[in-house]
Amino acid sequence: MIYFDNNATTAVTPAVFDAMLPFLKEQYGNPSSIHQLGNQARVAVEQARGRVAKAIGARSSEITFCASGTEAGNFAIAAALQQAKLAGKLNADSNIVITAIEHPAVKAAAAWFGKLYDVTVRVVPMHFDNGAVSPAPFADAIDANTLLVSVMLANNESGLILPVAEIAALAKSVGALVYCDGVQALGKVPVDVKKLGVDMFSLSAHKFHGPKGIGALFCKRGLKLPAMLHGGSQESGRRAGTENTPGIVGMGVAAERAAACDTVVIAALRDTFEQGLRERLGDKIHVNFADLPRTPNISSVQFKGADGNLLLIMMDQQGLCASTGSACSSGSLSVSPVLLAMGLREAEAKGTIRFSLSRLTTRDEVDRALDAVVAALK
Amino acid sequence: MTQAVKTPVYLDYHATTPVDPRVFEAMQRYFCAEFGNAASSEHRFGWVAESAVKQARQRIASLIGAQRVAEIIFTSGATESNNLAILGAMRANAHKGDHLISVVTEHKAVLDPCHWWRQQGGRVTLLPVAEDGLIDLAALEAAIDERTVLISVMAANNEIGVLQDIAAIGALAKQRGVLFHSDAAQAAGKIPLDMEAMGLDLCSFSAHKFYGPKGVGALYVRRRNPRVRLAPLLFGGGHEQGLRSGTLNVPGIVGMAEALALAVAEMDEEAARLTALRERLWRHLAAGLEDLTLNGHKTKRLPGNLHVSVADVEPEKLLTAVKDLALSSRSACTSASQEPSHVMAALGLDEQRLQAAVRFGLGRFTSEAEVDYAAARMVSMVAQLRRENTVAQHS
Repeated sequence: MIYFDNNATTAVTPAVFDAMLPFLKEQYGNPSSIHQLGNQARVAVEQARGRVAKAIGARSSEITFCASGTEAGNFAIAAALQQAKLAGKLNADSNIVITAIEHPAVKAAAAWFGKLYDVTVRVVPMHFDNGAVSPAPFADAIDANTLLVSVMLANNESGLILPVAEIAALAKSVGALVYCDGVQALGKVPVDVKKLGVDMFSLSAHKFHGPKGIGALFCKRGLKLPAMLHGGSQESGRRAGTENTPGIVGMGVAAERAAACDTVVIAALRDTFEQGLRERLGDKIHVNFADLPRTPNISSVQFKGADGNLLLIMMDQQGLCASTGSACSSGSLSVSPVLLAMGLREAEAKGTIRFSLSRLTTRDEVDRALDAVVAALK
Repeated sequence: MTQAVKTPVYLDYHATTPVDPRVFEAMQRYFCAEFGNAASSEHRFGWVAESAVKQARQRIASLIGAQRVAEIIFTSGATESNNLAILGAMRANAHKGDHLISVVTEHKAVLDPCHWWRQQGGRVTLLPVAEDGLIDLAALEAAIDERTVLISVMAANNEIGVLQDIAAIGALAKQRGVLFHSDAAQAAGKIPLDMEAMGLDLCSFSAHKFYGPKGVGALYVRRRNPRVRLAPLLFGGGHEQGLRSGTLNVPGIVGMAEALALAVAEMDEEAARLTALRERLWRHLAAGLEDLTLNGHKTKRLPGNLHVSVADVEPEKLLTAVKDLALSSRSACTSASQEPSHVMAALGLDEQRLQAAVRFGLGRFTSEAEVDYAAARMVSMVAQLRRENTVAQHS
C-alpha cells in the first residue's frame, strides 16, 4: 500500500520508536516519583521538552505537554477566555477572531467557549491577492475588543500557508492574544514562534512521525493561564495527569527530526507527482492552490466530474491511500467547508482528493501512485 | 538469608507499573506498521486502526460489566476521565442541581475538579473517613439533598489502599436518583469491578496502573437507566460520540485492552499471591521494628498495598537512605510537596504517625526474595536512623 494520507497521521519512524522503547520497557518510572526510576523518567521528559522547544524556537519552560493537538487548541482558546474573564476584560463587544479554514478542533472549541463566555466568534473569510492571503479581512475583523486571534500556520486540507506573522502583528496592535494551530506545520515549513509573534502554538506528534496520544502547547513566557485539567502539579500545574513518558520522548525525537528535515526533497516529489498527473490526465484534473504558498507535501487535486469518495475507494483497490479532507470529519459525506472557504465551487470540492506525502515517501511510490490514480479512473 | 535481588527493588506499583511484555507485544505493530488514523474511513490504514479500536472497546466493555460497547470513552488517563466525569456531569446537569458529594481522601484528580466546581459557585460536600479510611454510608446518605447531582467515591485509595463499598454506594445512589462516579484508577485489574452490578454510572480507568502504557485511559459512561449526560471538555472532530475529540491513541488503546484482559484473567491468583507477599512483608517488618503501625483498614485493602507508619523516623530521610528500594511516602502526583499527605491527615492520626508514612506497592513482578530484601533493608535502616536520632538528642 502506498500511503499518501500523511496529513491524517504518519508512521512512527524506527528512530522515534527506538527512542521510546526503553520507556515502554525497563524505564517505566513515573516522572513525578522521587526515586531513581522516577528521576530517569523526569530527565527524559525534560530532555524531550528541550527538543520540542528548540524545534520551534521556544524555551523549554514554554512547552506544556498534553494528549493531542485538539487538547492544546481547546486549552489555548478556553484559557484565553478564562483569563479575560478573570481580568474583568469581558464586555458586550468582546470577540475572538478565527479564520474560515481553521481545523474543526479550533472551530468547535471557539464556538463552545465563545458561547460559554458570551463572546462573539468572528470568522474571517479567505481572500487572495496576487497569490497570497489578503490580510485586509483580518484588519477589518480585529478591533479593540478582540481578545484572541486564532490563525493556523498551515491548513490541513489545502496546505495553504497563512501569513501568521502579519496577522499576529495586527492582533498585537490591539492587545489581543494570538493562538496559532501549528499541527500541520512542523516538518513542512520552518517554525519560529518568536518570529511568528504568537502567544500560543500547538503541536501534535503523530503529524510528524511521532506517536499518537501526545501533543504540546507553547505558551509564551509571562502568559498566566489557568489549568485545563485539574488534579496534580504536573506540567507546572497547567496540565495534570501522569506524564506519558514514552510519548513525550518520542515526540521530542520526532520534533527534532522534523525541524531538521529537508523539505525541498518532499516538494520535488510532490511536483513530480503533479507533473505526472498533468501529463497523464491532462485537463481531466486540476491541481488546486498550486499558485498559493502551500506546504511542500500536499497535493489537492480536482478530478473533474468525479465523486471524490468513490474515486478513493477505487484508489484503495489500486493500493493507494489518500483522503477527501480532514480525517477528523471524514465519514461525513458533506462537502468540505474548508475547500469551499478556499474558493472552490461545490462540484469542484466534491471531486477533490488530498494527497499528502511525507519525508518517508519515495520516488518509486510516486510513480506507482500515478499508475494507481490512472487505473482507478478507468 | 535473602537471595540476591536486582536493585533498585521497585515497590511503587501505585505510582505506575511497567508495561507487561505481553501488552507491549500486542500494541507494538500499531506504531510503525499499522499506524492509521482510526477516523480515516477512506482507506485500509484507517480501517485497520478503527477495527483495532473497536475490538479494544468491546473487550474493555465486557471486562468491566458494561452493558454496551458505546459506554467506553477513551481518554488520555484517569485524570482526564475524572475531570470529564465530574465537571462534565455537573455542567450537563446544571438544571437538576449544583451539589456534588465526594470524600476527603480522594486523589487530587477528583478533589481539584471538586474545588474548581466550588470556585464556579457550585456546592461540594467532602465526606470524612474513619481511622480505617472508610466512609460512613449513613453520613453519605445524610449528605444527599434534592439538588445533589453526583456522588464520586474512589474504589481503592492510592495511598492507603482501602476499598470503599462501591456496590452499597451504588445502590444508595440509585435509590436516591443521584449519579455515581468512581475513580477506579487503582482498583481496575486488581479487584472485581462490574459497572452493572455495582450501580456505577461513571467510572475512570488508567492503563498505566495495570501494566498498560502511560497516556491512555477510559471513562465508562452509562447509556441507559439512566442515560448519563456529560458536557465534553474537548471539542473538535467529534470523536468518541462527541464526548472526547482528538485523534485516538491506537497503540495505547490496544495496549490498555490487552492489559486489562490479562489483569482480569489473572486476578484471583495474583490477588492471593500479593496478599501473601504483603502479609510476609508486614510480618518481617513487625518482627524487626518497634513502633510500627499499619494505616488503613486491615483487610479491606488492595492486595498489593501495605501502608505503615514508622515512629521516630523522618520518611524523607528514610526513603533517601534506602536508595535501593523504589518507594514513596505518598501519591506521586504530590510527591514534591513537604506537607503531610491529605489522605493521612484525614485519618485523624497523631502527629507521629502522620509524619512517618511509608507506602509499599507490590505488584506483578514483585518476588518473595524482593520482599525479604526490602524488609531487611528497612529494618536495618530504621534501626540506624533511630540510633542516630538518639545520639543527636544526647550530644
